Amino acid sequence: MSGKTTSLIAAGSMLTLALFGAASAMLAFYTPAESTMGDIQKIFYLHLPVAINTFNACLVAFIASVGYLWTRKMSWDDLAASAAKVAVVLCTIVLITGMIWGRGAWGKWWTWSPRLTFSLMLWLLYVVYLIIRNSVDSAQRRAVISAVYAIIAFLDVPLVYLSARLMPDIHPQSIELEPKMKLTLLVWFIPVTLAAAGMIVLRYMLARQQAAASEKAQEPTEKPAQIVPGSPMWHSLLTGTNTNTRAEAGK
Amino acid sequence: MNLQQLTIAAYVIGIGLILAYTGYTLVRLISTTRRNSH
Repeated sequence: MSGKTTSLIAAGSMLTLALFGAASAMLAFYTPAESTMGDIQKIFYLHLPVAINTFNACLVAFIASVGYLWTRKMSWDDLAASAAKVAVVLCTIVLITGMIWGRGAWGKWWTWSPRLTFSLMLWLLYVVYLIIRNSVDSAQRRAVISAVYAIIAFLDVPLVYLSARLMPDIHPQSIELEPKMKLTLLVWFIPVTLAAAGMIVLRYMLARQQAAASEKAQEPTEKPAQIVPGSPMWHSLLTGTNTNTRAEAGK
Repeated sequence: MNLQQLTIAAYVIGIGLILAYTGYTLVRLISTTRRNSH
């Protein structure tokens, strides 16, 4: 990693942290509580941006998988895997914050409504993607199987989005927001999107470094035999005797 | 737990997971890069 990259990562991390702090302060001191649900509705400002960024991460995994099948370059496979890992983390947050919100608003942690079920399915699909990646030894085979699987898994994303609109669901389609609430939501989108993009980039960089490390490990460690005057190889060349191995040369 | 505590718990878990995962990735990235450069 160059010095410029390190500074960029440090600056991005500090900016994201500062924005998370500012957004939290805004939520505590500026944003009004919703009239029917009260304080628990404030989970919405984290829940929605994380949900949208889960979809974005799944989209990146989908595009990278298509890119891999198209070009057969391992960098696309690394990007798909990185995005899928981040999608699992973000989807976990969506499910946990959603369950807590459900406990406060509906009085129960979980209900098998279409959107919740499809969201859980999305999480499971990408967890299985990671399990598949760990269970195939050959890098090329792993990349092909994972890419095909990621393309199929992405079909669940529109189902999650459309489920609450097309089917009867306890999950709200949209919430009427006051101007202050809209502004808070917009502000929360910034650090969450930065964090999601940052996680994918860092994961991708790690995957490339790991690929470089494994290539380095496969390089031959023994140096080729040098023909030095006086060495067994030198004598064999002069006398025409055969010294195929180091052991034979030493005899 | 009242509603306010539930809300705070949701934010602590959500932001905590993001920070923990980012930190874990960063540490692994730094150690792998160092190992590669030697």
